[in-house]
Amino acid sequence: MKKSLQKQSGSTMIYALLTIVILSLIAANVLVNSTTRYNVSSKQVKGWKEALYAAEAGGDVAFAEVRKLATSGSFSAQFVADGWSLSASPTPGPAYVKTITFGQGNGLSATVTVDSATSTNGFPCYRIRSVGTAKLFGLMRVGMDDRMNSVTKGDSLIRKIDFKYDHFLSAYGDGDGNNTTIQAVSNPQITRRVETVAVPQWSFSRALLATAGFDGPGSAGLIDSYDSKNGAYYFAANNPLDPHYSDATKGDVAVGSSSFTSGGPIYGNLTTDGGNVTHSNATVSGTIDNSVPFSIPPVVKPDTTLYLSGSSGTLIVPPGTTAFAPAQYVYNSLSSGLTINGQTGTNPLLPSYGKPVETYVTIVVNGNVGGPITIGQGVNAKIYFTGNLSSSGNDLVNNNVDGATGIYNMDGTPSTDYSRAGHLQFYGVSPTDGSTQTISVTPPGNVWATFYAPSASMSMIGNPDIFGAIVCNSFTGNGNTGFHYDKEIINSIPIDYQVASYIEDIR
Amino acid sequence: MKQKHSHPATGFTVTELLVAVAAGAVVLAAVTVASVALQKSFSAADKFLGTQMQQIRIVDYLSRDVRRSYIVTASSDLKTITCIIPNYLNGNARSKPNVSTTTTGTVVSYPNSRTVTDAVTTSGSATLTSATAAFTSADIGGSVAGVNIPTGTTIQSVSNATTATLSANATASTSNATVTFGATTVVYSISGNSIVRTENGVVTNIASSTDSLLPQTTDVLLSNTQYTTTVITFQPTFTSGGAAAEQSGTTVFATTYLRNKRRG
Repeated sequence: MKKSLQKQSGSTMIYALLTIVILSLIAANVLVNSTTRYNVSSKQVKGWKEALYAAEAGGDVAFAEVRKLATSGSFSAQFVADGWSLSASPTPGPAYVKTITFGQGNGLSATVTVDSATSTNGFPCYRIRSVGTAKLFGLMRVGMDDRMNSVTKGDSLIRKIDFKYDHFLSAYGDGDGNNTTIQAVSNPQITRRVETVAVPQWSFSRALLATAGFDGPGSAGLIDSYDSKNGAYYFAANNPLDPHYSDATKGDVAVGSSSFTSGGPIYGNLTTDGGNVTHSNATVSGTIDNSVPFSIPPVVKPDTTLYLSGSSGTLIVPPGTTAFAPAQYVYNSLSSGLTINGQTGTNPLLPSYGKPVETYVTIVVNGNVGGPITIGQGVNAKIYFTGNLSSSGNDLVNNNVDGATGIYNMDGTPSTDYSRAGHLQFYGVSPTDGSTQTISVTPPGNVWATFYAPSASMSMIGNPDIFGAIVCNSFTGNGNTGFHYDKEIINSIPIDYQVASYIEDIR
Repeated sequence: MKQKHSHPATGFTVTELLVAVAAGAVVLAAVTVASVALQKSFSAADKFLGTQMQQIRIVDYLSRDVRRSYIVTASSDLKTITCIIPNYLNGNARSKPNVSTTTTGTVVSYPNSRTVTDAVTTSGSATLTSATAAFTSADIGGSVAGVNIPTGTTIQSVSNATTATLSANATASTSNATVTFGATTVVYSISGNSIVRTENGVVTNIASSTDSLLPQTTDVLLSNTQYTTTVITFQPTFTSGGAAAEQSGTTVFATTYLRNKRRG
């Protein structure tokens, strides 16, 4: 019997196919909506963050340039030499500007402006304004999180995307409300604006800094200050009627630990980190703050590749040296002593003729300093040493005078480098093995010098007086030792700069 | 020969119809269930993404303000953050910075928000003295921020260049304190189920609970006012692995350092 073939109607398959199609459409809708939202939002978040990275990167580039001023000294020359352009704003200037472009497809850029907006202690501070811009490639969509409800402010309030026009230029112009303009943008973009202020740093902003501990002065000693611009030191810290009383009470001591012991008076402010010092248990004329932490970076030995090899005896500093271009010598030790003499004026038409003029020398000692060291008038000596320093006061002879009387600059003008102590500066190179240096100043004799040795244990024994400033790891002074900080030392050349203010213009 | 029986091409048998209807009903039920499930899934995924965006927005807002603050403090329950920000703008113009050297370092201030380091307050008293403050009548109404001074305090009156009366009493006695006058105060707090940013009294909701954000899980930890660590979580719609586990999986961490750290 022939089997009859029945027609397959296939309705179930149609249902199944329709089901698959519907489910696929729903799933595709889920994916499209989710990924679109994710892509747009994440791109905008990414752009907003990258704009800040660009602005801060530009600020870092400018700050690195500012730091070079510690060794070059000339704002204009330094920036022009490194490819910065003179900028018309901000006024009164001078200001320099540079634009840096980077990132994928050059999508990031930073436009940085640097000017000297203000000053402290007579030295300029540098204002760094950086505008970071991140282009938003792809679809021109607003952030989807503005939709939440009538009171909740979403992404566009914080991220401020410029889709067609630069909103900042149109509303605020140059940032101060001047020169507002409608300016189209080539791509949607986000900009962020950061302003920092780089301020100078000096080796000796206070009389004495000791990171690990302080024990002194002796019960018969004292710490006070004076201003060598007014001439030689005399004691005025206990006489408010003295015209130099305010200069005499700036013997500020900062201790970076809780370890503090005091015998004699300190005419200045005192800070410790965790100490328990009060006016009843220590004689401190100024304020006491027991919660001031600080740290001091180590001293690194200068690169002596181009230094001349020095020999003991007498060193004559050649003419033509400046603070930024000193004569440079390297020694294996100074145990045999050294006398450093400078130059005298050679132009008979100038008042400096035959008189000592300011000269500059940097010496690196790969060992100890122990022998007599004498510097002549006008000599500015920076002596770095890797070993220890031990000397009596009489063996550290500084023939300069406070007030710089009779000393001239090379151009014939009277020197304004008033500090006698500032002419003889010792720098203890921090040992790389973590060991502690020692600096010992013993009687007889007084010393006019500065000591910057953040890894050194420094002691003043007996009755020498030190005029200058000290930075050390720990300090001990007994007997009737006196330490007199010269306020003029802070007016030396900055050794570095630091960023002391950070503003983001969020408009 | 038996006559061939011809079947007309007419409809289905009752059995076929019953089977087809049953099968169709099953398929439609499946479609309905799947559709609802997919819609729920879409909604959950959308909320998840949206809430993640809110997490990021909270972190971005907070980081931006912390980064430019002088002082940041948190309440004891870690749910309110107060940022003291220099008042950089003077109308539409940017202010010129003033730089001064103090016993604790170099301080940069802006004319509309200056900082002193010698302020003296007494517990329970509204009087503040500072030898360097140079108070004038123009300071009245301006904000005051510093250690042991309640949030939102302003200058009520000025007695002379060194003495001012605050709108609130100091909570403890302090000498040589760092105090900032005229700064912008930004407060992050929780209002209902929203996270609110208040800048000089102007309130903005920056995140809403409509996407299941759980503000009570927002923790802000501070350490020595040097940086803020922010932890933000939310409760996702689907919690197949348990609510706690799913919630912890949404955590976003952020740490921001104060670029303008001031002691106080």
